[in-house]
Parts: sequence; structure tokens; C-alpha cells
Amino acid sequence: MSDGNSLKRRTLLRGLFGAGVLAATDSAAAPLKFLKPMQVDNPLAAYPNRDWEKAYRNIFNYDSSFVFLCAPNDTHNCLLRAYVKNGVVTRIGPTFGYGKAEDLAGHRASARWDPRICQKGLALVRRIYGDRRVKAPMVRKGFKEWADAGFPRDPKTGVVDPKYLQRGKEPFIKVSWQQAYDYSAKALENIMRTYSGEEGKAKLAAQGYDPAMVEATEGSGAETVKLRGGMAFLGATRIFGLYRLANCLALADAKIRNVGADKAHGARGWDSYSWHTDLPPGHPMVTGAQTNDFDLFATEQAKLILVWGMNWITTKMPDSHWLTEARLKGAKVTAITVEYSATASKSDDVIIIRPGTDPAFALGLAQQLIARKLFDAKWVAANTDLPFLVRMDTLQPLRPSEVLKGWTDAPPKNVAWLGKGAKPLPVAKQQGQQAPEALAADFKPFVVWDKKKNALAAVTRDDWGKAFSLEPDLSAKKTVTLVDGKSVEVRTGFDLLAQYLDDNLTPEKASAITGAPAKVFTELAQAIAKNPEKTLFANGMGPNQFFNNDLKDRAIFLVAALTRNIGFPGGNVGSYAGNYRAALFGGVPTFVMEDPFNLQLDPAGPTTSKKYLHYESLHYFNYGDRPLRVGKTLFTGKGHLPTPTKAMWLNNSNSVIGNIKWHYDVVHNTLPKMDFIAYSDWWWTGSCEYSDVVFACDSWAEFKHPDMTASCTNPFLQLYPTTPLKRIFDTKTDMEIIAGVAKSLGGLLKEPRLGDAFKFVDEDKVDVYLQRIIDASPNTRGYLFGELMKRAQEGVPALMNTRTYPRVSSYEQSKGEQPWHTKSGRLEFYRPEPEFIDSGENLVVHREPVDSTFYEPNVILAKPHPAIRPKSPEDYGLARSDVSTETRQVRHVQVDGDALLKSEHPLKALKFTHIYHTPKYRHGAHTTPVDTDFTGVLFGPFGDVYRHDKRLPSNTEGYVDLNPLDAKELGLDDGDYVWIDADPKDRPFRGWKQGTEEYKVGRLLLRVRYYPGTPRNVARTWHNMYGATFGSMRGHETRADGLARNEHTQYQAMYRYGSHQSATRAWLKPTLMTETLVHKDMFGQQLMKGFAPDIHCPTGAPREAFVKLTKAEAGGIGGKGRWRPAELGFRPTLESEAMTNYLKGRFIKKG
Amino acid sequence: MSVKNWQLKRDMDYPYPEARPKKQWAIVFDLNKCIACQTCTLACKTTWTSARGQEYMFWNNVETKPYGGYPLAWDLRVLEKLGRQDWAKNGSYAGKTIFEAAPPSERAVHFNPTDEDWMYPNVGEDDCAGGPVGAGGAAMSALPHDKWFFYLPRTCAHCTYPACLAACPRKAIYKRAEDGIVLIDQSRCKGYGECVRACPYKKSMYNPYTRVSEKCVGCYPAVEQGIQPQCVVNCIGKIRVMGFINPPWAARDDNPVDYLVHKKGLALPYYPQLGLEPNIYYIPPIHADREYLAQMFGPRVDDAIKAYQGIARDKTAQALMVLMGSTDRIIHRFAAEKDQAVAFNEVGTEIARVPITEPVIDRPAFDERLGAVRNNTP
Amino acid sequence: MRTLLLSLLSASTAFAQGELSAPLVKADLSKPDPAAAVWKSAPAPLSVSLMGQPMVTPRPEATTTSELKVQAVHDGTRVAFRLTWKDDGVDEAGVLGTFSDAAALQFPVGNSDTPPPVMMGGKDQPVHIFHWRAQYQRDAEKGKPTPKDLYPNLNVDMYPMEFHDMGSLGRKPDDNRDQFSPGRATGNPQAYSKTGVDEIIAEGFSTSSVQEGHGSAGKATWANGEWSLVITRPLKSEGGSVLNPGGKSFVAFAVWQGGKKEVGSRKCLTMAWTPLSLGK
Repeated sequence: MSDGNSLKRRTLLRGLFGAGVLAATDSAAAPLKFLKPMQVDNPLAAYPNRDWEKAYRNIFNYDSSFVFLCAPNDTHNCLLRAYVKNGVVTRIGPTFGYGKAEDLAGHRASARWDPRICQKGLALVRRIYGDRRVKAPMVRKGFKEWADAGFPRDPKTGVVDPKYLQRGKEPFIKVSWQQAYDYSAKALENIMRTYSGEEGKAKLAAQGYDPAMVEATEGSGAETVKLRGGMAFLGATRIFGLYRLANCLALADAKIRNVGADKAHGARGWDSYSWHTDLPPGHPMVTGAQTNDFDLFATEQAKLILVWGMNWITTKMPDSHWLTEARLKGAKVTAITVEYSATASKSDDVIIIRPGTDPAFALGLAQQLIARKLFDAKWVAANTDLPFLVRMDTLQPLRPSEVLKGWTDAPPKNVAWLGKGAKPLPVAKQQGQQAPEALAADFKPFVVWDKKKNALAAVTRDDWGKAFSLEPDLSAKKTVTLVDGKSVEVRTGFDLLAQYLDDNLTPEKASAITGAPAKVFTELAQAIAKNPEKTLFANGMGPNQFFNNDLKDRAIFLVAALTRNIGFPGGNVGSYAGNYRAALFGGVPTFVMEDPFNLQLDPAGPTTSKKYLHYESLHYFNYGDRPLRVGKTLFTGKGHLPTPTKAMWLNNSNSVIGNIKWHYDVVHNTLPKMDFIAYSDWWWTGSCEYSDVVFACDSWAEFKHPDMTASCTNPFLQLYPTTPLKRIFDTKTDMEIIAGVAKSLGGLLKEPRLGDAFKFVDEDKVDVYLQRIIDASPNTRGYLFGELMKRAQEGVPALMNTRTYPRVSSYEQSKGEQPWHTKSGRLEFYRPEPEFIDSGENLVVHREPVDSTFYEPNVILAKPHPAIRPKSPEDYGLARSDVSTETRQVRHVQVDGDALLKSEHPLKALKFTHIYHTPKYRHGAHTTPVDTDFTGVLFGPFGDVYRHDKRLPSNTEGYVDLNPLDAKELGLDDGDYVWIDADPKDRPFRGWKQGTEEYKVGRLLLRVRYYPGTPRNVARTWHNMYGATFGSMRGHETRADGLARNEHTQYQAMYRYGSHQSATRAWLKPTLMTETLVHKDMFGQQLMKGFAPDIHCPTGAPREAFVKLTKAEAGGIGGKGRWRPAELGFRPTLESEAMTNYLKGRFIKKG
Repeated sequence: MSVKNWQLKRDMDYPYPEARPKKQWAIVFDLNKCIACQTCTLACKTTWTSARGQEYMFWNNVETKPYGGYPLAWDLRVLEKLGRQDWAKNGSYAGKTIFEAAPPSERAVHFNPTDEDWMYPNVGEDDCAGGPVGAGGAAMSALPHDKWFFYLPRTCAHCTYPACLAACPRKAIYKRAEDGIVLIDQSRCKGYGECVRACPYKKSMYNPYTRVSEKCVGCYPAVEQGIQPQCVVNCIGKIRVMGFINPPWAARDDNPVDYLVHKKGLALPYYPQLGLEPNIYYIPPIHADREYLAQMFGPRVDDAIKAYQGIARDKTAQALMVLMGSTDRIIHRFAAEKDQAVAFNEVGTEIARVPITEPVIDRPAFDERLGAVRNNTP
Repeated sequence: MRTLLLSLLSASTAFAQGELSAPLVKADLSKPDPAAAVWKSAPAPLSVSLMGQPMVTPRPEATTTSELKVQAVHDGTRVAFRLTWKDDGVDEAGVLGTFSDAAALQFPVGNSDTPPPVMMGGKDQPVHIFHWRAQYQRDAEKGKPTPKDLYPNLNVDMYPMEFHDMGSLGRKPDDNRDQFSPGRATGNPQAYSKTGVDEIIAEGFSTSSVQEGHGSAGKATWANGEWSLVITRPLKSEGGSVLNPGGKSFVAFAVWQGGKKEVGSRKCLTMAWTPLSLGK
């Protein structure tokens, strides 16, 4: 108080004007405080009464805090600290513990890793207490009626009356946990029984499934049960637990079919990494390993960083500083992208190309590297298959036994051969590669033309890297006489590739295909060649979500191999999409595949493994529960074949159903054929909307059982701490739910071992399973669970003990210690397997995208070439003119560049104009947690928490980014609503009909945003959003506030109608379904052949669609007039005069 | 009154006499590292503005320049009111500040946002200037880019000459002598909204539920404990460092903020021409249009960018840059020791030590003791 | 202009033309009612002229309300004033960037012959203000609006300690909620529901502070482009403005038009005290 507060006035103000107190009429809260008139002199200098400042201190203070792990599928896995007030988590923050992480030898990460967190993690505080939590076990009304009626079916076909299958349109009923377990167990038992034996097969056949799929069940109903731990690497026990259950269902199968352990089948386990199209399928084709990559902080070692089809800045947020700091310290960053992106704005050079032309772009670089002799011939000769001679008659590699008299093949020494029934070493002990003897025939030696001797020379798998002494002629082109006297023309893979590149992808030609200026190919090739061992190729999800993704990988590896940039800390190739590399937990099989017939119930005892489950690619389910059969040909290899899907239970998997490609086709054409759908989740997703049983899971912040994960982009081993936070709703940990169902099924079948299989869950000793995994995993062996947990609860992770920090794939290979996991032991660019030759992809070629192109889709860019001899449509009994989506997948038609650019996408004639792609973005990690109020309002330009326009389905909504010039041509204003239609033959779903509710919910309606960063005729919608369901549509149309929210479930859509998956569909590529590709198995150093989940199987093409845009409504509030920012002239190409001056910096004049 | 504004290199009019605090809160942002992840925004929002009437408030926001702004086009609309102004050859400001240009009835030239202007907090996100990308594609192989945008994270600038404070008819807004943080007295404010009108940065916000105005509090409850503000501590781009800035005549080279602002000229105040001597400073983005940057950061922007491009050869600068975000404590002093960067608190205790380049660790291929393989392709 | 005004106003004895007399009436003045019969029989309204507040910035560009018609009566314990002025619309504030119509009566504290400076009094020369707002009247009649009332489509997941489903927290959300609303946590009367009229004590510009109300009340109706407002108060409020039957005092007036974004010092007011005499 100033001195003005004189005695006189104090008396004066006594009574009525003394600091009185009055309870506020609208609250029993803080009483009103009446201040005296206050004299303030200079508020810059001093202020009389600052007592009130405690108000903000009170907000900031907290009672206690605890640590939990946030781990969506974004690869980062952040330990976060939750701050608690009155028993409620009021905010979240980073732990600043990453700089304290250590490995077993005491090496430490630095505080440069801190802080690790993001806005989505902070927004979890809105989610943990959110009203879209799954708050208790829920059962769909119709399913309950079916179960209560004893699962009635049509006696002949086993079909369930559709009246029980009104998924997505019915309310759910809250049940007790035991009821939920029992309903699920009974349903699974009924389904396994129904579809077992010849009778079961007959029913499946009667239901119209492909005969090959029916055969694949081998008469076991368990094979029709599909379980999926979504992105299981994110939960070594609670998510992998569903695969353990799949293996354990062999116990149920044995009971139901009354067979012994030897004949019992487990359930099917769906894939994860390949399902998400995160697997770069060309990597195993070149290196033999699942994926080649590097911890992102390897940027510290690089001089040139190519960020290629990867929006690093928005999808690798906590690791973005490694990129910007590398640049700060002098590394050059070049973005290869399809738009002027966030990452472009952090790059020195930016190259914007036509979507899906990445193979052509990479091959254009390779052409320059070879034509200008910028490549490292010696490294190529010793580390790749390019010098090997190929027979032009058979297109097979020339073998020593064919040309060298007296030569006899011997199996290579750098593989340990396992005789029949021989047990491989435990993965933690596998120092070298091993393979079953049966595979030996695939490891034949090769032949090169040795320049020193000027003669043919054999090259075995042992002759590579430093051990390789020959000087092969990379461009050899000879006619040789075989031992049988026959003479054949042979050429090196290098020479065949060089011809292909010179014919089709010189800078001018590559420029015409990709849109990048011709000079870029020369300049970038030179820049890479100048930086051997110092150029990083960071490849993202973008190019990987195109049908030609395996060719993209093979082409990029070619560029890296030619410039000696594979396997070095500063020079390597990496593919980044989703989290994976469960192999870091090599001990997982001891848990997942523990022999259910011989369970180890002693925590300390040794376990035995036996594989009863079968893995399967989820893409066949996505494809309508069909294999790829076109015309009379089945393109899905036997080892890949799916079975009919009658039951599914998934956890951690909104990507399936809720966010599945071709979502509305799955909902309307596939789900109705299914008998049982169960989901475990902690947030009510689009997948829950269509489930029969929804299990309520704990949020990460409520974990009562520990779990463990790690990452493919950082070096940290992470535990999910158990937390002191009281469960807010009636939820359980995923593991308890799995145990509950298993036990209930065990009771049903009198098979106690089903319950025993999860004994340590019931005893709250999940750490027993975790320690078993830790001990059996090469990179974690030596850690003790208890210590890891203590550190995690303090916010400190541990370091993975891989070979190097940062982890760098192909490191052992580039050092010459271990061969690559291929037939030749080298990087392979020529693929002689029949599936590749038939597809015209034995050489690395460019194929047009299968739908996202202005030109004829999926054609092979190639002038006639002696080594490119694909099967023609006619060979498959198809009409060459048939370019429909189904046949397109197997259509191998060759065109040269000029013809390609003259051709047209078949829909162009129908006024379809835009390539439509759906990448991921900064505001959601997949779908976590885009729909919270605080994050939603920042998602794009239409966010408005007050929702002045009640058409907004949420606090924000999906939108389509259009080049403003395109939009104007189409009569679309910034902010308008527009209909997006893809190929009407099969989208939004096969068999759609005008005027039906099904079509209405599925047809995509979006806001238009004028987005100058995208090229002409390339449209984009962000992927991370919740699509419209029957319930959300009803809410949007009937609620007073217009929210697109399901009244029964609280499901909140971010679209009024449709979703970004309205325009996508399933695609199956023949080269990803081979029986012949040799590669490394998932865990350890064992080599194998053909199908392997997440390694060699379909990946789809989720970023492909060609669409038509039709104006729906005006953008002004309530549909009246223009969208305000456009009207006011603040938007791109709509600028007012003032805005134009502002953009040009005209409001000041520099002196 | 006439007060000294070092950012304008001249004296200027202000309603109150100059009174610099003992210490002045300041944040430096490296815009070449900002990724617009909005983690700062959510850190602030979940800590301070999650109650009724605060739904729309973002004391800290990140907007894309030039098409983004919250409230809508706030800076363009203030510049428009002020009109074109000039910088003199010697780097001093020859134009009028918002106080000097004010009509007789007002304390500052201002733009008064409407309800609709507070919609769309992230409008313009990732929209580039330089015209739409053409058909096929494009390539940029030189800086600045001909298509460009950049992210601008914004908090209250806790100005040396705040317009909110100047405009408050109740004198209910004041500057703390101990740290220079500017506060609205929540117990005395009557919600006239004069600060909302007058602050050119639009960082005073009216709460329609409590009917008083609110603003960024500089996280004083943290700062009082030697901890950096929430938006800094949560910055995963590691673009921010909060400290205490001295005026140029009292600058200290080992003070992180002084080093970046005064010693190296890397960081510049934004819209200094408005005359508030704001205390958030930006390292300008090297890829964006220079004329636009000069409009926002003043005539020294070219020098700042040249200095930034020299960091690759400057270990001391690198040391400070890798310390950013590597501690949640307030750094009062920093040093480069060989290949390491070290930070100290107010009493000289070491609070962080990090390598300027993260080392490569090569482990044995087989750990004999544990009998375990160490493989990069396990 | 400004200096002229200063000299004009520094003379604290500057009085407006005309005097307002409040006769003693037999009527219940505890309930303010602009339509009450008493106003028909009361003396004809006195017209006082207002001008845009000229002394301090920020101030109105121009005079938006130039005239106010006033009547006054008292019943021996309470005095009531009826004010009418032109305003082409009702503005109750609410959403962002909107302001409320308002009017105020100002009385000297203490009964010296030389009243305090007419503009908010002066140091050690307090004035007693009765401030009515359409916004406050709305509070009294319909309750203080929540954000959901102001923005019917508002969609928020939760407020601090307050969730759609409290789940196992069970307990009724407690008062701790208000700690997250600093305006309320500090007990700022502005942050709580109003009864219609604020009683304020001021000792010059920027000093005013709301005081505990003691029986004053206000009620206004708007029709045909005109507000009719009645403010009633006890004659005697100890330590505040005290009026005596048969005695003389002073009163000053101010009006705000919310639609013209008038608030605080952006107002129109009487440039001088109006003499007030109370009948016996």
C-alpha cells in the first residue's frame, strides 16, 4: 500500500469498506476479497500488493509425481513424469533421465538426449481421464443374444443369422470381467469346433472361401482363429501375449479334435510391421535382413544426409534435433520429397518429385554414377553380386559347375549347416549364420570374368569383402562354352543394369518421369560420390506405401552400394516407418512359443519352445479374406496362404478395422462373414465400434503389471513402470485379460494347462517372463529386471547392448566380419527367382504406381531388354487391355518413357484428376491422441474449440490439401467442403449403392485447404484421424451441437462422412509372396526361405489412389459465404494488398 | 516520458519513466531448429490454461510464417495500423513506435481482435510463400529457398516497455523488479481488455468466465526455483534457452543470452520497431526470404544469418547450441572445454556437461563374461 | 483543448446547470422498477449533458451519449434514481471482444461543501460509485454464463478436477477446481456472479476498487432505442456516501455503450457534479 493509506482514511473505511468477506453466490469456493483503493506510482518499477502471486504458485505446485512410459507406434518410447494433485494427474512432463542411461559396460548416453516427450504425450492427461476411455468390459447386444441362444448357425453352412451381426449399429452392454472372459472363451470354442474336420472344411467351402484357403486350415478350426498383438514389439509380454495364447490354443485344438500334441494346431497370428506397410520389402531382397537402418543420431557422424520420402521433422520429433544439430555443425541436408514439407524447410537442398517415382529417381542417380564412373568399383566387386555372370538363355546365374571342368560345389563355410532335426544354438550364442541343410542347394557359387587371369573364375559365398582377391570385369559380356559343349551368352548383372539405365533413365529421361530437373541427377550423384561412408539415406514411409516399394528399396541400395555407403556410422541406408525389430528381444520366442504341453512353472527353471501357431499376413483379410487369384492363376505362394478368418482378437491395434486400408470394404464385405471380433483397448476406437467384445485396458499411466519395449531408431531399452495411480475405471492390463480368457477356455475344455500358461500373471510375477526374455536376448542378457525397473521408475532407461552405439545395420558386414544374410553373402541386386523373372523384376526397374499416377498404372518402364522377359497378360489368360484394379496387380506390361508419358490413367477420361495420398503427421502418432481437445484444435487450419461452425465433426476435421491453382480450376474455394471419390468400381467399397446408409457413411467429405506446397494434381489428407462410423454419423446429424459422436459409445469421429481410408484399397504384389527368396529369420542368425511375417510378405499400397473432387458446401460458417481467412485475403493466392505487402516485407525499409 | 530503447538505438516516448529490473527474464529461440511440434504449446496449456474461459488461450503458441498467426494475422494487422516505417542507415530506428504513433485518445496504435479472430489457432500451418509449387516438381539448391515458410514459437516477451502495462487504466499490470516478468494482478484486474487491445503481440487474453485478463506468467513459480519455464523445459527441438539478458552496455560473454544476442549477434528481437524492447529473441531461419525477415527482425538479420552459417567453425557457439535443452535448470554461465559443453547455475555449480559430438561406441562382438552376442542385426 | 479542460475541471466547485431534487415519497424503493408508478408522479426528469471522457487515455474518439434524463426520489431510508439514455441495442458482453452497456452514479464520501474532483475523486478524497451493467443484471436474472452458455457448440474433454465421468475418483469434484482460475482463486469480485450493481470506492483514476455491496440494487429495461435504469441505495452507508433527508449533496453520472466497445475509461460522463437536494 502507498502512503496514501492514511490513518484518516483507514477510520473512514472501517466497517463497510473494511476488507469484507462474502461467499460468492455462484460458488462455495474462494471467498471474495475486497481491496482498498490502491495508489500505484510506476508499475514498471514497483507494485504495492503482490500477495496474490501465490495463486499461480498454487497451480504449479503438486503433491507427488510418478513415471510411466508413453509408447505408441512412433518408435520413440518416452518415459514421462506425471504430476499429481489431489490424487489426480494434472499435467505431464519429461523426466530428464535419458542422459543417465547406461549399458552393461557403463557407457553413458548424454543429456543431449533430453528432453524426450511430445505434445501427444502431454495430451495424455486429457486421455487418461477422457470420456472415450473403454471404462469396463462391453459386449455388443446382438452378439450377447447369439451367445445366450447357444451360438445357433445354419446346420449346413455354419453361417450365423445376420440379425446377430449388426455391428456398428447396436449399443453395447456392460458385463462383468468373468462374463466377458466366458463369452469370449465360449465363442472361440464354438468356432474352433464348428470349423474342424472335414465337416468344418465343407462349411467353409460352402461359405465361398477360396479352396486353397480352406485346404490351408488342414482341418483344424484353430486355424480360423486370428490373434494379433498389435505392434507387439511395444509390449514383450502384454502384447506378444496374444501370440503366446495363439500357440497355447494348440491345447484347445488337441482337446476339440481329440489329437495328440504332434497333430495339434495353434491359432494364426497376424503380422504387424508388414501389415502397417512399415516393412521396406526390398531390404531382405538386397541384404537378406528384415530392414537395414541406423539409430537416427548417427547423423552426428555424417557429412551428407538425404532425407528421402521421410517427413522426419513431423514424424521423428524427439530426434529432429539430431538432424538440425548435424546441419548446424556443417552437415548438408537434402530433402527428396513430394511437397515443400516441414522437413524441406529444415534442409539446404530440396528436390520435389512426382509421388511414387522414387525408383526412377534413384535409378537416375545410379545411371549417372555408372555413366560418369563415380562409383567405387573395388567395393562393388567385393561386396555385391553385380560382377556375377548371368546366362542370357535362362536368366539364371552362371554356375562354376556349368563351365569349369571338374568343379564340384561345396557348401559355404560361413554358414553352419543344421542336419535334420538339429536344434539351432540359442540366439544369444549365435555368433555366425546357420541354415538347415535342406537349404544348401540355394547357396551355389557364382562365376565372374577375372581381369587378372582374363578367364572365368568361381566365386563362393566365402569369397567376399576383404577375403575377395579377384579383379572381376564388372561389364563382362561373353559367349562361353559350357561343360556340356553348349555355348551361351553371359553378361554381368552390372552390365545388364547399366544397359537398362542408359536405355531408360539418363538425366533427361529420369527428369521427365520424376519431375526433378535433369541437372539434379548429376549434381546429387556427384555429391554422394564425394561422401563415401559419410552419406546417410534416411528413407521414410512415403515411398514405402507405394506398390513399387520393393523396387524403390533395391534402387536406393544400388546407389548406396555404388558409393560405399552401406554399414558405416556416417554412411548407410535406413528405412523408417513404425517401430519394429523385435529381434532386439531375441529371447521373445522363449515366451511366445513356450511349449504349452510342457510349461515351465518354476520361475527359475529352463523353458522349452515349440511352435504351434502359424503366422499369416493380414493383407489377405484386408483384401476380402482372399488370396491373390487372378484369372486361373494363384499368385500367393503356398507358404503365404491365408485361412478363412472366422474369429479375431486384437490388442493395441486400431490400425485394423478402425484405420484399415479399404476400411468400408472390410466393414461391409468382410466383417459380415465373421463370427467373433474382440478388441482390447484403452480408448474407444473405430475398431471397437465394430467389435463384439471390447475389453477395457489400463492406460500406460495405470499399469499394474510391468512390460518392456525398445526401438528401431534409438538405443534405449525401456521398461513400462508399474505406477501408483489408482485405476480410474474398471480396467485391467492386457496380460490379465489374455490370462482370463485362457483360463475360462481351459475350464470349458477341462484343460488346466491353458490357465497354467499364464500362471505368473495371476501371481503378479510377470517379471518372470520378462527376465526369461532378457536372459535369452543377445542385447539384454546381463540385465536384472529389478534394477531396470528401479531406474525406469526414476525416469531412466537402459542402453541396448548392440554391437555399436549408435546401432548401425550392416556394420559387421562392412567391416568384413559377417557376410550379408543372402544366398551369395553379398548385397544382391539381380534376382533370378522365377517370381521375379515372371514379374520382369529380376533387374532393378522402375514400375509406375499401381493407382497413384496420371499414366498407365503399374507398367514397367523399360525399352526392350534381353534380360527383361516378364509373363504377359496373355500368359495369364488376361486381356492386355484389362487395367482394372484386380488384374492390374499382375499386369506386367513394358513401355518406354515416351509411351509412358503419353499414356493415361484409365480414370482420367472420367474427370478424375488427382493423385491422393494419406501420409502421417505431427499431430498424431498413428491415432494417438489426435482427438483430444487440446491436440485436435491444433490439427490443421480449421481447429476451433468453440466450434462456431457446428458442421465441424470435432474440434477439428479432416481436410484435403490442394494446389490452389488446381482448386480454382475445379471451382473449389479455400475452406469449402468437397466430395472425394476414388475408383467407383471398388471404392469406398465393392458393391456400394447410391442412397444407402452404408454409402453415406463411407463416401469421403473433406474441407479444402489451399496448400501451395503440393504440386499440381497431387492431393493429400493426413492419415491420423478417426473415420466416420454409423454412430458418429447419427450423432453429427442429430445432436444439437453437431458433434460426430456415437451416443452409445462416445466414439468421436474427425470426419463428417467417410475417412482417409475411403479412397484406399488392398493391393497384393506377386514379388512379395514368393516361395524362393532366401533371407534371415526374425530372431538370430538363421537363414530361411519364402514367407516370413514382417520380413517377406505383402505390404499393400496404402498411399495410392486416383480421385475426383466435387464441391459439396461453401466454407463460411453454416455454409454461408466464404471461409473467413479466405474472405479477408490472408490465404495463399487470395492475398489482399496488405497481405501482399506483408509477404514482401514492405512494412519497413532497411537503412 | 522519454526512455532508452537499445533495440532501436534511440530514446522513445513511453507513459512511465525507464526502470530496468535487477534481472530481465529472456528466451532465445533457434528458428532453424523449431519443428512446430507444439510440445511447448501443450506444456503451457496443460500447466496454465485448462480451466473455464481459457479454452481458446495459448499463452505459448507456434505459428507458421508467413501465412499463420494467432489471433488471425495479428502482426500484419498491427503493421497495417502503424504503416510503413524506416530504419536509418546507422541501424537506428527512424520510424514511429506504437506509442509514438498513437492518436491522442489512445495509449498505443493497436488492432483489436474480435471473437472470430481467435478461431483457427494453427491456420496457415506449413503453407509456403513464393507461390504454389508447379506441375511435376521443383528443386531448390540454394539458400534462401524460393518456396519458404518457417515456424515462429511465441510467448509473452516480458517487454522492457510493455504495451499492456502502459495501457492498463487501473495500473493492475506490473513488472517484477527481481526478474522482469510482467504480470496482470488477477485480484485487481477488472477485465476492461485494454491490455488485449494494446499488446501488439496479442499476448494478453481475456477470460470470459472470470472476466479478467490473463497472460503468460513467464513460469515465475519455476523461475523462482532456478528452473526454466515449461515451454523451454519441454522443448524437444532443443531450440530454446531461457536466461537473464543484460542491456548491451552490461553484457557478459559467458552469459548464454548475452552471448547469442550481444556478442555474436545471432539472435534478434522480433518486431523491435513496435518499441516495446521485447525480451524474446530469435535466431532467424537461414532459408526464408530476407526482406520478410528484416520486416520481422530488423536490419541486422543478414549479419545474424552470416553468423549462424559460421557456427560450423566455432566450437564455443557449438557448445552453447548443444547445451540448449540439455538441462531443465537456468544456465547463468556456459563454457566450451575441449569437445565438451558445460553449463553452470547462478552460484557457479556445474549443472550440465555434454559432448559436442556424441561418440561412437564399438562393443566386442561377443561378450565372453555373459556369453552373449552383440550384433547390430540380431 | 486539454489544458483548457484541466483548468475548467481543477475548479472543483464547477457545477452543472440545474439541480436534481429527490422528494420524499411514500413508496417501497427497495425493489428497483423503472416502470413503477412513483416515477410518474415524480418531478419531471432533469436533463444532464454528458461528453466523452476527456481526461485520460484511452478515451472515446467522440461523445457517444450526450444526454441523460434523471429523476430521483427517497422514502426516508432509501434513495432511488431513474436514468434514461439512448442506445440502439442491448449489449450484455459475453463472447470475446464484446462489452456491456452500463451506467453509474457517483457521490462524494463525506459531506463537505467542496466535493472531491468529479472524475473518480482524488487522493484522500474518495468517491462512492454505484455501477450498473447489463452484464451484471443478466447474472442476477439468468445466472452467470458458463463458456458453454456463450459458445453452445463448445467441445472440451474436461476441466481441472472435473471430468465427464469421475470413475473411481467418485468424490464430488471439490473446490480445488477454482485454484486453476486465478481470478477466482484470488477472490476477485469480478470473477464471480454479480447482483446487478457494484459499489465502488475510488480515490482518483486507476484506484477504484469494488466493495462489499450494502443493499444497493439496480434494474434496467431497454425499449425503442432507450435504456431505462433505476438504481436504489440506502441513504446512509456508514463510511461511504451519506445522504440526509432535507440535506444537500452531489451526484455525477457516467454511461457506457458496449456496442461501441466502451468500457473502463472509454465512457461518457458528466463533466461536473450535479447538486442533489433531498426533500423532507
